[in-house]
Amino acid sequence: MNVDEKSVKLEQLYALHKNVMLYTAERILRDYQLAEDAVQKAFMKVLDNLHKIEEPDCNKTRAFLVIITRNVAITMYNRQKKQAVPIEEIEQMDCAGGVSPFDQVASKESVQTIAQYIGELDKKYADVLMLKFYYEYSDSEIAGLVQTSPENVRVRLHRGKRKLAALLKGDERFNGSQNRR
Amino acid sequence: MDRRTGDEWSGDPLLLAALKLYAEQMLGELPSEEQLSVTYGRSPRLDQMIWQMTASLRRQ
Repeated sequence: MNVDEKSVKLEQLYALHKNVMLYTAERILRDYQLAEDAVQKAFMKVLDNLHKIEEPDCNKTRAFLVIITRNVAITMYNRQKKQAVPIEEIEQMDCAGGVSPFDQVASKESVQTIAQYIGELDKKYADVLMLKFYYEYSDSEIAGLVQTSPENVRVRLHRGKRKLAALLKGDERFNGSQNRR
Repeated sequence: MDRRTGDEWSGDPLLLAALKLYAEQMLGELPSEEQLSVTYGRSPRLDQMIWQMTASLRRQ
């Protein structure tokens, strides 16, 4: 992707999505100028990943920009409050191996149920799950996008997966073999 | 399992469909673009910042 293509795409993204990005940032920061700064920072992060954005005018891209803006704004908010984001310790992986919990069922209803459970997760977990599995970013790339360390990304992924798996396990539709007894 | 990442969740069609739906639901909870443009449509300071960013990009 050459410089002109990058510039054109950046301008397109800005024209299409800056309003929703400003709204997202202002809701967290409660300050319009800080929200503008957050949107600029979000675009600086997106700049390195422009080649991965195939279609500027689509929901997938819009949701991506909302997620990045939300994380930039939260980091700014935490710094303002002088509350460092707690560094989460690395835990032993206890659900990553083995069978995917999604193997059990595949229906429109189950898609809606999983989406609902993802919505129930803390945003910091839902966001890394989105960036990892929907947008297919690496742990290091996610760390750059959400302003944390790759280790913390791995912890969030692990916890997000564990929490989502627990929600699915508690739902009899995803846990047929145990509930048939 | 995705052989590239070694992760059972990667590429799972059900998870992908659910994440796509979650993204759409997340956007659905936000005000419409028409509503947003009333409040955020004019942003000369941010316009200038982004213009400087693209100008700097073009100079590279």
